[in-house]
Amino acid sequence: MKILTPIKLTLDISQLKYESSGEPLIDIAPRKIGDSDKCAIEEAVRLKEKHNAYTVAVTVGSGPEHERIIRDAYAMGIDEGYIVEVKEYENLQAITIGEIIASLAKKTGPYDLIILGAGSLDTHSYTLGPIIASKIGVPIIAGVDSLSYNDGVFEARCVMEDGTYTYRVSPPIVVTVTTEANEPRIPTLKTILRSKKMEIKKLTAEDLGIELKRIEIEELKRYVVQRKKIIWDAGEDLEKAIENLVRVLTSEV
Amino acid sequence: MKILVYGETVEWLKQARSISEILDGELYGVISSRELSNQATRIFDKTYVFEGVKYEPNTYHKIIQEVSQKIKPDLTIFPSTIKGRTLAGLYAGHLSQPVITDVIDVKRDDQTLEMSRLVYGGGCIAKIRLTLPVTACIIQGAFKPSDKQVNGEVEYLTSIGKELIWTEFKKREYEGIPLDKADIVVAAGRGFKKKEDLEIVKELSTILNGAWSVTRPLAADYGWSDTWIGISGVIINPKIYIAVGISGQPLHMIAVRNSKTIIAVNKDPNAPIFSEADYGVIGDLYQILPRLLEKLRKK
Ligand SMILES: Cc1cc2nc3c(=O)[nH]c(=O)nc-3n(C[C@H](O)[C@H](O)[C@H](O)COP(=O)(O)OP(=O)(O)OC[C@H]3O[C@@H](n4cnc5c(N)ncnc54)[C@H](O)[C@@H]3O)c2cc1C
Ligand SMILES: Nc1ncnc2c1ncn2[C@@H]1O[C@H](COP(=O)(O)O)[C@@H](O)[C@H]1O
Repeated sequence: MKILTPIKLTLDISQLKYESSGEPLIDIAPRKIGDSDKCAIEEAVRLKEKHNAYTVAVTVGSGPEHERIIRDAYAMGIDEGYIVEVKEYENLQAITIGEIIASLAKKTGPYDLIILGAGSLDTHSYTLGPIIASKIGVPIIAGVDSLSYNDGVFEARCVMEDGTYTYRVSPPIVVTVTTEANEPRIPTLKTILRSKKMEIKKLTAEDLGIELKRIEIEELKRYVVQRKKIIWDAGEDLEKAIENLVRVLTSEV
Repeated sequence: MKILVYGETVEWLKQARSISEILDGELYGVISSRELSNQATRIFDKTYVFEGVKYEPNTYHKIIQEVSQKIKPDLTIFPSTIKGRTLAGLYAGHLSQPVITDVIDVKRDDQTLEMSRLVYGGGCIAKIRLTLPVTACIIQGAFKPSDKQVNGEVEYLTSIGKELIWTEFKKREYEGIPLDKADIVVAAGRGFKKKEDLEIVKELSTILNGAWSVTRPLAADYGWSDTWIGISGVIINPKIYIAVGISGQPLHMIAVRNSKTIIAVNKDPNAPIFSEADYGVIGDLYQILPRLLEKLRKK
């Protein structure tokens, strides 16, 4: 079995700061490998351990931080890593990233499984897995909370808005996983040291024959909602606060 | 301008109608149940109905794509749910169109669309301009449902066949009123120390004739509930939303922002939830909720 895991360098949105004008300070926000991407790597490495799979990771972007996340993937057990170098990857259209990954998959595959995060921390689009699946022409199972593989068949469980779906399908497929899928392993010192010596292969979008389509952002600002913001402190007067709450609850319905 | 929409609830179909009015377009709908079709034909200029297959993204996408080939829409919209996003990704990938998720506003300017979408976990709003054709996932509740009625055509799609991949579905059973239908929703966050303590939230929701839920960590990490409110869970638009022991992180707030009134109870005066609340009480939920219940019971 051969597995590809696309991984993304995402903004750590919990640490995003804002200018007083409401503009987000994107450039200084810390970036890291996405949480659900780590779960995708973990699934790939478990399949490697159980079923002798060969695992490959790819990221689209450029700069030392992208090398770092490929090394993070190596430290978790991934065998081979690619960076498709694109400057200003953050304003690429999802469709372009999908085309790049699908093209790399055709060039370095065929893969039995392409597994990736369902949604990243910053854009959280949930569309990249489906785009890759449609570009390669294999089925997608998206938003998977638990995945197993037995006798040549993947079984995936997805908790959705209206209930729980279970799917069974044989490879090749594309799967996107949520952060519920597993508890990603923490690399050991030994695997971290080994990851530093491993080679990272580099390509460009031109090598893959992909034309870059970007998103034009005309304005970006903090999302503020107008609310009344009437706040009572129960520490000062508990009974008064409760009375106020009761009044609101009985009058606003 | 031709707009194609996929949807599963009347509420959402009516929101799609609003979007078509804003953009001055003809509205085509594809729906997966005959039950919906009576209402859908009054919302859509033309409705395509299919039936008899369980939701499975690859199969549903194939059907939607078939309809799309007949219409050749300029804009195709899906709800920004996990299902909607998955279908939208397959659809846009197939047609090599731009796909935008978490859209909360649209404007038309000749052959381009200006869309506002939420980014960075709902913390920011980005305005982007795109040339048609485009696929978009719209946050449910961002547009007011339109009550305009039309006399639309309907076409039943036969020869659908079976699911492309083996599928089993277990419908979610709600205790009480379903979350997305309740006028009042009470939700618990990590301010609650143990599962048993949620009883007080359930009791509060019962007395208010509403529904209850939790934030994602309580459901996904602790297993105290099957569902949660948030971008990756259920999106709600109640009259009153009461957040208890919830900090107010964007990925949660994105799903409650269309509530008419937001009430927060939190012991931390600096919790972000207070800047998105209409009314708030700073204090310990373990003190406040029992007292509140006592008072409400007397009413
Ligand atoms: C990809 C992704 C998707 C996500 N999707 C969702 C989603 O759909 N929905 C969602 O909810 N989250 C989601 N999250 C998680 C989200 O980012 C936050 O971690 C989560 O919403 C925080 O939940 P909370 O407010 O319950 O907990 P916390 O942030 O820990 O807040 C607990 C609050 O309780 C208060 N508190 C503590 N004790 C008391 C007391 N005795 N009385 C009163 N107040 C008290 C504290 O002051 C604090 O403000 C997602 C995260 C990721 C990475
Ligand atoms: N630039 C990228 N390079 C590699 N993988 C990516 C990239 N962008 C997104 N992905 C993958 O797609 C998933 C979903 O991302 P998104 O659609 O941005 O929410 C991520 O978790 C990654 O696995």
